[in-house]
Amino acid sequence: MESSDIKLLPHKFKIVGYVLLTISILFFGIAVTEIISVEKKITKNIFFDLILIAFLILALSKEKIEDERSMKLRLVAFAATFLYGVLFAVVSPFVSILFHGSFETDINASQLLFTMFLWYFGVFYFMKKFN
Amino acid sequence: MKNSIKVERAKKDMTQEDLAKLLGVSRQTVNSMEKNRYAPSTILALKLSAIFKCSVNEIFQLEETD
Repeated sequence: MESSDIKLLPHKFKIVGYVLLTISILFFGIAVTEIISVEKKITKNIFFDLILIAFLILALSKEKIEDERSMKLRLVAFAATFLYGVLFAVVSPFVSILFHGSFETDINASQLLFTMFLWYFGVFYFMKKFN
Repeated sequence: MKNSIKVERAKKDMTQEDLAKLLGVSRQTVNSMEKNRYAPSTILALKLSAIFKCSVNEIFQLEETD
C-alpha cells in the first residue's frame, strides 16, 4: 500500500525540527535585542537558514499516525503552497508598484519560502482538523 | 458514494477510536469516512470488510451522482 507513497522521515525527526526551530527563534531574539554584537545581516541569514531547514524537516516528517488520508492532505497542501508561491511571485511586483512605485520587491527567496512553509502548515493542519 | 460504516460500527459497539486502531489510521480519518468526506482506498475498504465481516458492497454503495 505504501510503495507508491512519498517516502517521509520518521516521526522522531519532528523533535529535530522543533529543536532547530527553537534555535532559530533564539537567533532572531539575539538579532532583535542586540545582546551580542553580531552584524544583523549575518544573524538574519542564519535565522532564515535555520528556520527553513527546521520547517523542511517538520514538513517532511511523518505525523504521529500517518495514514492514507494524511498523505492525501499533504499532497493537497503541497499543491496549494505551490499555487500560493506562483501567485505571490506574479502578483507581488504589481502590489509593490502600487505602494512603492517600483516593480522591485523587498521579499527575497528565503522570505518567500518562509511564507510558503507557513501557508503549507496552515493548509495541512486546517484540513486535517476540519476536513 | 455513501457508506454504512457508522451503522456497522454501532452494531459492533465500537468507538471511532477503536475502529481507527484496528485499521491503523487516525480517528479523524474514520470520522471523515463516516461523514462521506473521504473515500478510502481499496485496501482500507477491504480491511473494513474484514472487521465488519460483510462484503465491501454492503458497506459502500454508489449514488446516482457517482
